[in-house]
Amino acid sequence: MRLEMATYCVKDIRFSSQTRLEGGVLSVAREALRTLLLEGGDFADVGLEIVRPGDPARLIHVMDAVEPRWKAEGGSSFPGMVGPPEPVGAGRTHRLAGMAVVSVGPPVAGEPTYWREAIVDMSGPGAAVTPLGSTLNLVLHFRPAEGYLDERQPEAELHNLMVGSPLAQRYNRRVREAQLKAAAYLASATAGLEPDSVRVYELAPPRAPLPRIVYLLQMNGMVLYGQATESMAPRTLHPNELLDGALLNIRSNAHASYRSSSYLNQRHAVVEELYARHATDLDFAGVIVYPAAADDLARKEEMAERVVALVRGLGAQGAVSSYSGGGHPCIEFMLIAQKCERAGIATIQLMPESYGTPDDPGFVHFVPEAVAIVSTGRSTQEVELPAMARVLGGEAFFDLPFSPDDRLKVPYRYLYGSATNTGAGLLTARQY
Amino acid sequence: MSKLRVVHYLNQFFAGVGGEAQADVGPQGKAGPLGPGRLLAQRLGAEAEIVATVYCGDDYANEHVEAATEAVLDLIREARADLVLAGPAFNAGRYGLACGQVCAATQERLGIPAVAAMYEQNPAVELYRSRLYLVPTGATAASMGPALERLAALGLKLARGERLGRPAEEGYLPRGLRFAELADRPAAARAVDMLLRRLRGEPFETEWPLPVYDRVAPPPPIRDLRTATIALVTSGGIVPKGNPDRIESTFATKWLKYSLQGVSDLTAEGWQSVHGGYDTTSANTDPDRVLPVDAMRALEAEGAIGKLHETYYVFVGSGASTTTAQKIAREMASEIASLDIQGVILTAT
Repeated sequence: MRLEMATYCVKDIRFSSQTRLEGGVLSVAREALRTLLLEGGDFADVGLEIVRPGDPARLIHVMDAVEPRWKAEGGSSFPGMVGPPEPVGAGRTHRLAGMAVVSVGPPVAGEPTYWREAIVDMSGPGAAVTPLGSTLNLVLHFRPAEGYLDERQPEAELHNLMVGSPLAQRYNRRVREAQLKAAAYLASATAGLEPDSVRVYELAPPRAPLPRIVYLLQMNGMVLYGQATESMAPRTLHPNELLDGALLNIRSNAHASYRSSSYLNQRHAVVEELYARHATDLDFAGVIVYPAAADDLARKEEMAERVVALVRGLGAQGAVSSYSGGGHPCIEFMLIAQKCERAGIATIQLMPESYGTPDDPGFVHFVPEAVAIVSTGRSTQEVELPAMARVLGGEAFFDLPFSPDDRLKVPYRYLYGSATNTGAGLLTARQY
Repeated sequence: MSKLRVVHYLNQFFAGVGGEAQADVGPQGKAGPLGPGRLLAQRLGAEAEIVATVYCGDDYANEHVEAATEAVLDLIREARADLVLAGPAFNAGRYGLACGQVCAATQERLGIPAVAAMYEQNPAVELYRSRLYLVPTGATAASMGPALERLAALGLKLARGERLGRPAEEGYLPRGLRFAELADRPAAARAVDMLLRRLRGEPFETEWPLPVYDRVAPPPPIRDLRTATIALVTSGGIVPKGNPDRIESTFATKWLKYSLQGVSDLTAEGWQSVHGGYDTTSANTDPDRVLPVDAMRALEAEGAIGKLHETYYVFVGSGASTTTAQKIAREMASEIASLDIQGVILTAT
């Protein structure tokens, strides 16, 4: 599989009458894009705003973010979401670098908000710990159509708190589809233009034998080729599929700090790192994805066994394994590490410290084999954030005792992407 | 600028009062340094002075903890201490515990910085390491010199209000406290580096050491189940419909109790699960699946148990840390233990 990623650097974004990319400046036809997003009748309105790194601006109620991509030779830019679920990871893809399309907005009927609040600060200490703090962001503020706000309708009934009502699930999908449509539309402005650089992603077999490494990715609140992943069996993917938009975020009610945004999965740091070292230090054997399993211990055991069987099938000697977040998913995450280690496969676990005061273990469950952990930060620790002149996304937080434009003292878990399991962040924790 | 006022805590032996035979002597205060305090005073240098030494027999300190603590705190207050230094206790267990107790009380009740010095394997270390800065020493008084040096250095830093770095750099025992900070490279690079080191058989350091879990000894079995009152406790978030007391779906800050009087079966009309961390569909269809009231009533009716306690206890486990869970458990258990309840069924999700 050979992917040619053509990069077009965006130095600024402006609103204009036409959408074009010239001299690194992306002009966006605001009204045309707005009209495009309102097709389908799911939204009463969509606001479009631009925020830049260094702005005294704060985004709240963040849902997802994505880097604009366009398949230059035809094919689906975001398979199963924008375009049919055709395989991706090959051919030529254009990307707009240095920017993201970010969706923000309120919940709908039957949508829980206990994990939904997500903050992005464009300046100050908050900006340093979220990837979106250093990108030019086109912010799409989605306002639900009236039909989505009616609590009395049967589809708004909430049975499973974690995933929300059927109505909420549908709305969240529509938001992503719109966001991704906008992203593909913007990236298509690169048609016929010369890129700033082109990078080829291809896993040629190393000349000399090198340790075979797999990347294990636990999925939660995501879609793979547009399909819900909860009941999927573990499967192997070519890393190019991740880099080319196969795995995207679908759920807003997931801890902001490690919610698996589409943006961070397209720009997956562990995959990029393994690619960078392929054929010199290691042999990147592939990616194995598996859903955060059911709440049933027997099913977790089975899931872990299947994942490890795939690892062994790829002949891996080592693995990097990312945890998706949540209490239940940590059980099979630890079981997988245990089974890998016992099979002689060195496993590095990538995980945030999700619970408790500084003296707390910080995690629900450890196994004795969890001896090699990279911590993506203590998400319960508080950070002080300054007041911000401009707030996008809402008028009040869901569950924080502050006004959104005010000075805040909040745990890292509210900062979008700050503890990402894709390995892109600098946040960690140390023992004192 | 006036010197920092330091109080030095010693046991009866190092204070020169006597050996084991004097281990029952009560707290005493003397002006200036005693015994190893003289060398400690030199190590403290010009900016601090040992204005008083407080000593206590090791037996007294451990057998009359409250009285000893009160008396020692009084002496520390009288001396108008800016800093309290205790030990070195080396490997002496009772002395270590006394030092720990004195320093913890000084910090927590007087708000004065306090440091103790002892051997890493002193039994007091596990009890006090996360509450105090403990300076490691050798196992015996042969290491007195370096121990006092380190004790003085760390004490001065704390008294000056300086922020301390990591244990290895500053010379104190790891406290098992974890704080977020920014690394110099992204997690992905650190992960792949760590993996390659492991595969090459090179030494590596995990960023997150495994916790040590304690074990809870089970109590003796219930003597006669047929006459026993059994209570239901759940972390599964089952509450009366509408969640009247607004327990949170995650990172809950409180636990609640509700009456089961006259209730023989939980239905979707009257009850719900508000727990945000598991698929609540099944629980919301029939809440007995998480809080088995119907099964308990059946057992009551057959005489298998004496009775179901009239109140059930509920928490939401989502986001609960180990320390939070321990606190909640202690509070619930304290209430349950004060009632005529012989056993508890815990349902977790």
